Amino acid sequence: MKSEVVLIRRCQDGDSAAFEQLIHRFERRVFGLIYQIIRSPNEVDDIAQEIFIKLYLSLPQFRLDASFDAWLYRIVVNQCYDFLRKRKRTPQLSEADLSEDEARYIESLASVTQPQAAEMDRELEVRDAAQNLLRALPPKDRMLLILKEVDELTIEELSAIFKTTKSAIKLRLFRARNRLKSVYLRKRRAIRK
Amino acid sequence: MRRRHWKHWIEEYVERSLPEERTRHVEEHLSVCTECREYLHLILRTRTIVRDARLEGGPVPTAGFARRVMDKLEQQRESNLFWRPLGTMAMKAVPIMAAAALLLAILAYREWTPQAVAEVPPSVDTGFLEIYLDLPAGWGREAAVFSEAISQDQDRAVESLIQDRAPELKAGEEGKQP
Repeated sequence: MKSEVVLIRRCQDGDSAAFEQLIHRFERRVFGLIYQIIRSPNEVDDIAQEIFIKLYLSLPQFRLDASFDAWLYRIVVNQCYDFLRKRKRTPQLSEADLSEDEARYIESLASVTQPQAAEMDRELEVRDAAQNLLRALPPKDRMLLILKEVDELTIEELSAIFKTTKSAIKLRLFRARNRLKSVYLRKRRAIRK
Repeated sequence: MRRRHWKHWIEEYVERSLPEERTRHVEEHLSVCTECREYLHLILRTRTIVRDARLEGGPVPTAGFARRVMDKLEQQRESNLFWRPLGTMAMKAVPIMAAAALLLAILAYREWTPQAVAEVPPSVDTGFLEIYLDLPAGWGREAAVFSEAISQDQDRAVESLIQDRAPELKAGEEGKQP
């Protein structure tokens, strides 16, 4: 952490080599997060470049006592959101696009009522079905859930990233989860018809 | 405590960031409240979906990624070396141009406002208005021109008129005298 602060301070003083080091330190995490959010491998590199350029330009305003992770995450989230908004590709689920694997997955989820059942089979078809459910959400909800459940950020960290209160984050999570539940129920109804 | 309030803590309960005592309270509450238990299950179920949807084996940065970003930044800097001074100059010129426009507007206003009333003392005897109205017939057009000025500042307009026409008025008055 201390070395990170030193590195950032050097970047703020205009040290290009330090910024290159900073890129090396965070590039993998940024790539991974972009990929999880936009789900389009061909675009990741370009978006990551834009993110690091924005990071470089915004570093002079960064306060060294603040969380650098939250700062970086905020840039990533905003850039990904801009990309998704431009692409406007948020396909709504139709019952017609259900595959057999999805149907099996959704049926299996119906039996998940206890915490210990959260550990499920990681078969490829399971992932595809889950991805279809997640893809049906608006980008903002999807990003929030990915940050919470895949990156395992806490409510406090999310509130720092989205510059809002913890209560607002909880409310947004609550709504996002309910939307996902609605998509899931819709699919489930379609299977049973 | 109201049920809604407990729901408020369930996200943090799941992420295990609550203090020990509050965790115990939440657990006690969960054992008796169906609604909160359902919310807990919703969190766990959606977590399962999101984690199942996690993409594996995404793209990784290539060896030259950092260098490419640095090159792009350098290009931007070079482009800024040309455009930024122009932008700065333009930004600095805005207040100067605004001040110049204001000055021009003031000058134009002064130019097109009847100057005849400009140099007159602020207070004059309004009795002169009667004299003005007694002017000979040929002065009617001029009266119309001044009517606007009179409506704006009667004293100054009349004073100006009197000063301009003083010799003629004086001659007229002398002519009236027996």
